[in-house]
Amino acid sequence: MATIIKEEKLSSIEQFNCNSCGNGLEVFNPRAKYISCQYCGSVLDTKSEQHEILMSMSPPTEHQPMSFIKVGLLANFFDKKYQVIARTRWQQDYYEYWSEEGETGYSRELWIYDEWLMISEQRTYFYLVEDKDGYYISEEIVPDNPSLPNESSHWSFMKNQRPQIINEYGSASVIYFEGESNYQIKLNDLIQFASYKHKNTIYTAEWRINELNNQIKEIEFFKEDKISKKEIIQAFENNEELDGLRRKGEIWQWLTYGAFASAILFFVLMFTSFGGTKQVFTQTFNFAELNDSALFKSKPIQLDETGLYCIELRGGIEVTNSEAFVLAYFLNNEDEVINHLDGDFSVYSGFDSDGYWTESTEEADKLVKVKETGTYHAKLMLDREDAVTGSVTLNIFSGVVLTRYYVIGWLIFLLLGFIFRSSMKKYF
Amino acid sequence: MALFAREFECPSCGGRIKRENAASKSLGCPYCGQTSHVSGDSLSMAGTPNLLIDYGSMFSVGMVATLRGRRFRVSGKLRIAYEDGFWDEWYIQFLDNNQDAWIQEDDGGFILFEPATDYERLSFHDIKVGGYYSFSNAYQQVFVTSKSRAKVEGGEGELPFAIIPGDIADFVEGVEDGKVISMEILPKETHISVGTPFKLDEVSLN
Repeated sequence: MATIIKEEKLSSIEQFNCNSCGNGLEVFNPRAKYISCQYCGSVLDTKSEQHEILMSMSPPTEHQPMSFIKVGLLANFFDKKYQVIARTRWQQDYYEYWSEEGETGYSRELWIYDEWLMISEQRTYFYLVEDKDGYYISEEIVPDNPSLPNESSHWSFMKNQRPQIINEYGSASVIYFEGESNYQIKLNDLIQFASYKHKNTIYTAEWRINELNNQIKEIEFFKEDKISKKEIIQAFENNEELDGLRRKGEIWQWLTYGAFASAILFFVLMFTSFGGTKQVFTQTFNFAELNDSALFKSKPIQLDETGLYCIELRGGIEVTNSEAFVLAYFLNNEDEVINHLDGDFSVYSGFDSDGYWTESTEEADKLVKVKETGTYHAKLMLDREDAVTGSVTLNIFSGVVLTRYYVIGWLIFLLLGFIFRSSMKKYF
Repeated sequence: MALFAREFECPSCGGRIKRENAASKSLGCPYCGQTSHVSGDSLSMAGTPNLLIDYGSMFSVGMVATLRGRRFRVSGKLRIAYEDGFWDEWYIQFLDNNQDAWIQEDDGGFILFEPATDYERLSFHDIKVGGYYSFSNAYQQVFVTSKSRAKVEGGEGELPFAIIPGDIADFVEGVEDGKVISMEILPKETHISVGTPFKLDEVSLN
């Protein structure tokens, strides 16, 4: 759709300073009678010598454009050069058709959209409509079978179209405008509208009511075709202003890619970490060997690598409805305690209204950071009732990684990716 | 057509005004903007001089161009002012058959209007926008899309009827079967014409 050629901006027919804020204003359309200052929101008379202020609107900062498009930018559409000369912001209060699980109806909605007025070198126009869902090129058409919607929920005004469901109807009013206008746009200017969709095109009828006699004053028919954001970027590519925005967009784009790539990396690491451990030591102690008055020393534990190790105690109680407490110290070859681990092991069972139940606690573990290689050992102590028999196994695993950090990293980068992507979409 | 060409002297400024079409009833002086009515061999002033501002239209009086393969000459221009602005109507003749037509230029939109042969006299006040009316035998179900009371701001070149700048005229526009039907109710005459929109790309300059 768009052809990119480096071109100059259109020649303005008049330049003057805003009577309110002093910023420079340019008029491009010879027919323009009014101009709304894009810096302060004052509406000025373009035709009078003094360019009197006719009205003032709320500051433009309250009605920022939804994307990079702004008054003054150049664009190439339909192989022609256009310039953005005005924007009208509309607020719709309307009913939208819905259909769900066999039921249908209309729900009341509020919606905001911008209507950008584009003027060509030949002083022809078209409207580019922008809302949060994207962009549409709006074109006034002459209907084959003109009508306004009636009580029916179906309607069409073009040949070769069966009546379609009216997907939106309601009113729209002007809440802000900037740039040039041939007629004096007034805040709260109200139009009624109804639209239906046929294939990928939206067909709309708009009509204005004459406030004096409450009769319809004018009816216009439009068709709107969606245009992709990529095509919009291509159409506006010729603007220096867009270069800066594009650079910012590219920064956000790379941040987005980086964040998502990191998220993927953390996700992969998280999975690979599950199978990366290796058992380097195991020893089982019968309860008979242990007691609470003396520490029982394990066999030497040879650790040839520094890093994280997982110390695990697995308790095996042979008597139901009993419990045992095991305390294990982890010591270096100088008999210094560098960490400890305890486990409360138990086995309980019984009957209740749901039948037989059993409950046990058989495992306790802890991560230990080993800073030096060498020979280590453990010392264990047991506290139990005499009748409680069983054993406890001490296992030590190397290659342990902190999986939870991978999960946290994955979540953080995923979240950052979406935040960056949202910022990027403001530019692309 | 050149056989009927002749020159007049503007009754206001004395400038020479050329008339190409013997049927033209109004002439606009290109020097002072005075509109004059042709009566026999002389001109009589109608209204006060008003040089129409050129708003950068592609068209101009005297130019020859081609629209959809048909060459035409622009003979005159009529400017109508209404509540929300104004529009221009370019009076043209197709060179292949001398048929008269109008090009309406309004806010960058263009419609080629060709005169219809008959019309039904309608009461401007009774017409409601959004209603269906019979405008002529050929267009009996016209859906009215707008009506406005407007002022003839002035003319330029040759026009086929006697205009007086400042005159009030009623305009009704409607649609039937993909065509724009326009009715102009002037103080002394009513015109109905049938239009089809076109884009400037369809016009080539000769």
